[in-house]
Amino acid sequence: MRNLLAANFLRLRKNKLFWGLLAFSTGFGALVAFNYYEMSQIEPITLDGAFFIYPMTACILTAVFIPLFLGREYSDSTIRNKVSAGCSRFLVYAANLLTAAAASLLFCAAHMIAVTVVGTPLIGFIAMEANLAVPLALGSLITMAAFCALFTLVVMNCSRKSLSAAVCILGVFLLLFAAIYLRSRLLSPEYVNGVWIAGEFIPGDPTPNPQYLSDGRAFFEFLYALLPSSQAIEYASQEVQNLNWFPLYSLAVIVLSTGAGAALFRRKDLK
Amino acid sequence: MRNLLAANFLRLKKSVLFWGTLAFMAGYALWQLRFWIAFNEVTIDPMIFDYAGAVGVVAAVWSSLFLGTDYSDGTLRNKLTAGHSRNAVYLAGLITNTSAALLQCAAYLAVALGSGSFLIGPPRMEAGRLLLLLAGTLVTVIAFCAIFTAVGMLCARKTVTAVVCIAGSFALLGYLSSVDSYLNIPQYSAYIDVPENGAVSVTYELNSGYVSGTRRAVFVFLDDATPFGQAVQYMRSRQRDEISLPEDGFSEAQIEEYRQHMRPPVAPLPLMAYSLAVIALSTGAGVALFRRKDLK
Repeated sequence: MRNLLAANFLRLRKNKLFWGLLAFSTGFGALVAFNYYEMSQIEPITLDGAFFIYPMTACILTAVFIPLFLGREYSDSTIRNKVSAGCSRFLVYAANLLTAAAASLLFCAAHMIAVTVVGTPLIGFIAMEANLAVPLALGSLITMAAFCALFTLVVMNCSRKSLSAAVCILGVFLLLFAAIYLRSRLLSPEYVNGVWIAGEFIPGDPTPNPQYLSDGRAFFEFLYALLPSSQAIEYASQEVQNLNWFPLYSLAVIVLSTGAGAALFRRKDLK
Repeated sequence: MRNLLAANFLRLKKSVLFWGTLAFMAGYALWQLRFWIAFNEVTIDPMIFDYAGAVGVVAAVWSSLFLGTDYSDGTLRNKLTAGHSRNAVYLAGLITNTSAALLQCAAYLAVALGSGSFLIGPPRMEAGRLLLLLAGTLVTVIAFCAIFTAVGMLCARKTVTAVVCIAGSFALLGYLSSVDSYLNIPQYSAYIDVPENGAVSVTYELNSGYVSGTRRAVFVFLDDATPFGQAVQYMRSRQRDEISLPEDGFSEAQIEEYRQHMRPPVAPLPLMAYSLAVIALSTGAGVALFRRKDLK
């Protein structure tokens, strides 16, 4: 395992895409911090929003990075060599997952550092107290690991790099759109002060809102808690209520997807 | 050329991915229908051009994987060895991608117009304007295909092409949506006063959120010249066509004044001109670079 990890991290260090995405994450963090500075000139605003937005961008960067980085091992026959050299398939899978998770965490860290370095002299440090901010940050990193587990499941079991890249990128956007949709349905009020006629909203007496979820609410809430993308949205909005549950759901996603992925990978025919 | 096209279209017909994209576009239309039915909408006008953005992504998926497979399977090199000119191979790829994208739009429109007209209601905008906007979106879609074909034909690595086209398409559509939103902020906010007796009065105050100067000029250029910006504009065309004043009782002059202060409706003809330029430039550059490309 140590050899596998050493080999993976050496490849990571030399990988131009990794450094490019790391630079992008850093630059984006600096840009957001500067944007917040500009907004603070109009009305007071704290750095928290800029700091905690990384789950939204990091999941997309990870979706781009993992298929290209891990998928290369298929086209270069590295995976076949690792297995022929005697490494167990499970360890190959696990080492790849850990490397992917490390890269993803570094993207997040780059953003956090950039926002702090650029934003603190301009606006001030994050307003949130440490006993809330630290669990929030840690929880979001577990969510990122859940994303990595899902992407690794796809990439390790699909020898066609381009297909796994398309699936991961489309998949992350699909997950994000699904999360936004679930959120809007869950937040819809039960009554609206008016009615929709011919696509226009006519103010009036309270009427039942067709967008309100009455049945199936429990299922939507479960799905919302489960999806790593909805967790990412909640962390980015700095919602602290679900801190206890989200890491557990993410761990479940990690365990289940890694279990399934490793099991499929064991039986995969590596040409 | 005819043989190249025949071969490409045969691959198209047999491609599970292609039929999947058609199913996706049809499903997307159904999804939009469901959404607008919940708002008791009576016409499919708000959703009729939503394929413009969706095709931007779907065509990116399809064309990058289609052209990329030509490279990875060695088919491209075989076509050239068999005697076809590089121009012909490039153009055949462009025509195939464009046809696929237009079919994807047709899948959406078939469901939107076919089912939508019954489930919600037929389009209510003026027929001439509808056809003009439709023509505009189709030219935008061809511009998308021109760009994706250029990327796909010049990059031999299928995965890189797929990542660049798909992620780039999402990123640019997202970015230009926000650019378009900034441009929709009016220069003057309208404050409407409805007194108990007497006429409704509308006063206009300068809006601090208005984007002006160089920044506006750059935004307008990006929004109008890029197919991504154009797609966003077409998708939001109804909001710009209709003036939604909250209360009745406005005089003609007041309505006209209000219209002057808002962003004008989408003008398809300049957008089509920009798109034709994009098509010409990307195809010209693409063909020129492809001629010199070393195909291993």
